[in-house]
Amino acid sequence: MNEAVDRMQQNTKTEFRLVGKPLPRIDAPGKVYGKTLYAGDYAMPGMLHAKVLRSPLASARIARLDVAQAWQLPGVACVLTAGDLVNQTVSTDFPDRVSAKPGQNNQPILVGDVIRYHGEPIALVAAETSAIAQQAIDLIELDLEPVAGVYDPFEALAPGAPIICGSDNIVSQYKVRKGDLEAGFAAADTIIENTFRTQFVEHAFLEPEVGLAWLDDYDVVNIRVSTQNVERFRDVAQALGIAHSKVRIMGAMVGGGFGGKNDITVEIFIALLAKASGRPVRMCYTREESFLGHAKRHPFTITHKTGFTRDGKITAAQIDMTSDSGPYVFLSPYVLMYATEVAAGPYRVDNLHIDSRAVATNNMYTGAFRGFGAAQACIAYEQQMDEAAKILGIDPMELRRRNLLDTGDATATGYRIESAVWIDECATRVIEALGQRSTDSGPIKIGRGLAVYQQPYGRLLWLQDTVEAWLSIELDGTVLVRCGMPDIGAGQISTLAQIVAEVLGLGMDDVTVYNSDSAATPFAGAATAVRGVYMAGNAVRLAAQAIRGRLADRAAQEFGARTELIDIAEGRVFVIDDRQRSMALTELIALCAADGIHRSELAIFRAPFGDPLDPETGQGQVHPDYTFGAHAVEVAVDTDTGEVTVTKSVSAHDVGQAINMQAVEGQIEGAVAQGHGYALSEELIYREGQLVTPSLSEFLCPTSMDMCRVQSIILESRTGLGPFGAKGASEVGLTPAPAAIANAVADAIGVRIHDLPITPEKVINALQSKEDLLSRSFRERGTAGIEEA
Amino acid sequence: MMRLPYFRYHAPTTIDEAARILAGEGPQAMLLAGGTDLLPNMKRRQQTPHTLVALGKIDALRATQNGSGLRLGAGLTLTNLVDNDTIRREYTGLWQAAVQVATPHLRNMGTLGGNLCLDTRCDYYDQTYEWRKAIDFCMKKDGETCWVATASRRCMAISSTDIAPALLALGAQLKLVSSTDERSFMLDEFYNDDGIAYMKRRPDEILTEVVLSGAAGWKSTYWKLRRRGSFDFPVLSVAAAVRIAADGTVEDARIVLGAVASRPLLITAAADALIGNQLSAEVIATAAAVAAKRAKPMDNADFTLQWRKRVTPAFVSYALRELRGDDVRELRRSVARHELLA
Repeated sequence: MNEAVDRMQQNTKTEFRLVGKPLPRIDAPGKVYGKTLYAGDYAMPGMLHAKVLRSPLASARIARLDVAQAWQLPGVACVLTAGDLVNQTVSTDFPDRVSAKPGQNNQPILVGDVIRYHGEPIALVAAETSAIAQQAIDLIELDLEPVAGVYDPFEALAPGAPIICGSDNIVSQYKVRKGDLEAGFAAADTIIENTFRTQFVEHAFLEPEVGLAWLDDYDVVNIRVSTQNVERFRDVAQALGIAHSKVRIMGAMVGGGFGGKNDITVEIFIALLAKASGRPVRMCYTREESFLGHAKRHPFTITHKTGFTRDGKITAAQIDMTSDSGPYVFLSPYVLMYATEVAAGPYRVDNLHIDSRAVATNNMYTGAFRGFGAAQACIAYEQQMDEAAKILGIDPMELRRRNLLDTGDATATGYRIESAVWIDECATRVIEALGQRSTDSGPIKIGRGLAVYQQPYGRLLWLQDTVEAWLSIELDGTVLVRCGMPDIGAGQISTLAQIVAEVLGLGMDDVTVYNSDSAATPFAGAATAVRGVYMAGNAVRLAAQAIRGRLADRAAQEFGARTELIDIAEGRVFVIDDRQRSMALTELIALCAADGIHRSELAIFRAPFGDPLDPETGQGQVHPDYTFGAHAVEVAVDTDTGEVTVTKSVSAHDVGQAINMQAVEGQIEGAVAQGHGYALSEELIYREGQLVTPSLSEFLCPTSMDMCRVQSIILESRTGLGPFGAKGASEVGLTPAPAAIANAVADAIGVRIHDLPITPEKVINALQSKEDLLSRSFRERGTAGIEEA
Repeated sequence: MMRLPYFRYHAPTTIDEAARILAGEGPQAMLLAGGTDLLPNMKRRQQTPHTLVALGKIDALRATQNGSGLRLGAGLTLTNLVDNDTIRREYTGLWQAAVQVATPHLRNMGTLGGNLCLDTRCDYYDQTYEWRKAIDFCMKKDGETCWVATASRRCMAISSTDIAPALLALGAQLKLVSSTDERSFMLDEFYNDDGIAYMKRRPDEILTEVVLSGAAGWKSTYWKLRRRGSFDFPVLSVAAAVRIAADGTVEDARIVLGAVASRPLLITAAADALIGNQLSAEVIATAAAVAAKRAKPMDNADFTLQWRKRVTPAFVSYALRELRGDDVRELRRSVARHELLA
């Protein structure tokens, strides 16, 4: 038995009052009754309305930009172009922490010269009404000279391609070198090679980007905005050329983010306009603008060449990954890092080469999206495993089982996993939950698919992640929590309240959480990277424990008992083995107050810190820990039309410890639905960089009619690094779902579709090529890839 | 959000008053029924009427008369059609079409007449003003060229109504009223294969009523192809109705394809292949092949046109198999995410 399992067994002895229970989230009633205020609900007297002029072309030079007529329109308060800016660019992240070079990761705030993507902002208008602002936008005269662009990462790498970013269009690249690849392949009985492709997708959050900016009495630029990250105030200050302390960002409940609101959306625009006009300025994107206005999920092309022994052991793997970065560095190095780190999947691969690169094009720039590169990687490695199973004639689960990582094993980057790896448990449960296999009926063929995964949570170790939280207990025994962590609908604040209530023996109603305010709540970073509960949960737990410790000390003194024997529950403080010795919590707090005992605590939680990976070998630790799990589906494929219907979908995850069971289920179900859409129907299509699926009537998210019931199976090893042993649970529902669906379709029709989404057209074409192949009696060792027509 | 342009608004309470206002306003006026098609189009500036004449306050447009056939007021909502048991039992194809339009919310607003007059749709047309401007406007609005087929002299936008194919298979008639006259159309004669002038309604006319003859002996069905189980317009639809004798011989039939041209296509040759025969696998295959020949989808909707063309015979055969009495619940669940049992 390894250490993690020991830890788990110790942990399972603990009983919780509130943690793990499916309690109604504290934010639920406000949302259900329509009382919750979102950023778009805020308005101010004298407020102006703002609009953005965006480029209609993806690659062009601005020949002429004349805003004179827009200025003259009655009701227009302010028009800004690049020439009016103090700083032309905003830096999109730390250049030295990833492989991006300094200076390369800056993005224009407004384009003054060269346009690099369709929808790039050119000018801003603030006016008395949004109709006037739009009219003014239409009055701006813009002449563009088209410039040759590049719209495919492989073309962008070819000699003579237009250079969009840096000196060679390579935005970022990594390599992993482990073991002896040649010897590994030499030891293989079968070598299997396949290339898989994923598409651009849109977050499609319900609430589009919206914010309101105003100056207060101290010339501080205040911004109320829908965001996953209030700490972008530094970027806003940099853009405006003012002190960091002169910008304050306040969030609100977020109507969906999924990574799309991790970065600056409207903040800089409205801050610039508020500063220039001296009036409050509100900006709200239309849905169509939202499609043009934020980064998309990176499309990846991933080639796996894997050597297997006859009995299914992996002897070597060579993996090549290329992602489309769009024209800017933005988050591409990070996303690529995640993809590279888990490229080989949760499998033991001793002889491994990974080469990955993010490449600049004139497509839309790409960034964070639930799963963050690790999801794309899973789509490839899990399809590869099924292809191998087919060729080797081994049951897909059995093949995985023979190669799965366990606690203590080294990942692709050589990090030895310390927490539990319950993939087998999860996979066994999902397969079992599918129950009896449905039967084929006429043209309807049934297929089943499984996928397992490894998904990091928390940030890269060399980003030195910390969260602070400040708690205080009031004289009436209620608690205030102040923590900057935004709530993006995943139940972050409710979960924090639940953790605090657990530690202090209070009810959920006794805890009030203030969050998402860069000036008033301690810094907690972004609600991204599956770090909300892990990081902020630990910080509030530390703060609550400190307060509890002081209360217990004082009570111990009062009762003449040892501190460890003091417990607090339901508003009373007592000695555990002698409940007669007790007092009301309020009495104890009064005693503490009378003694001048500190009733608040500012705690900091530090994630493990570490150095970047070795640049030559790619070895080292990337993330603090991983979540593991599995997904299985059954699909019905209509072989006449190619339509795929997912009929059963089961998602199992070791979440370490569910804090709120219902919130975890909600996260899994939502993520699975996103995974279904990713697999089957969602695709942003760019033609020469021009988005030709620019609204929700062309970009097709699944509706309630398209989703089957999702069964969530939640396992708790209590071995995570989050509070009470929790692991991250907010992205993991998505990660394995597309590969499970792809594997099920291949199982149903006997031929694989290598490109997402799996549209009916591709199914029909694949069936056709299968017929063609069979008619040519085409059989070749290791040739699993049947390319799309 | 995108904003509506300014317009004048009238809400008359009688058909006569509406017709009078419409005549007075001229072609700059448009009728507003449920608004589920027109208002988003106005936000995208695909249509920019100076005046809207709302029909929602005209009770006479919401009448239903049940005699030897069925007379349906054009102002009935799609939800009214879905909730009507006579329609569900006797005009099943119409019910199956109505229940597959968009979503419950849109069916609560959208009307029978509105769906019959639905603007034709195209990937190059159903876009924001800025998007259309960026690629240069198409001939349907503000431009010269058809971006679907640049050599085309006519607009290739697609008839996307679900109700029209279903009613066409049922042999429906329409009644239109203006301030000066009343006209009746067989539904088949009401449409043109032209994405711009797609219907024969004059700007001063109001579609008031749909008239269905008795359904005794007839069975009808409607199959809709789209990517998802709700929201989306059809990218192919098949409406079919047959009258079958006791021995299983088809005495009369109508087969209609929707969303493969600028109008719904009544395909008599496919019906002829059925008449006098029993619905055997071969007869169905023949009719399906004949019908599919007429499908000429263009590259201006969801899915590739090759695929839409390719699945047309399968869809026709699904419809005919259902009419023959096959158990198609599995197929319905796959296609419509719903069994759609009458």
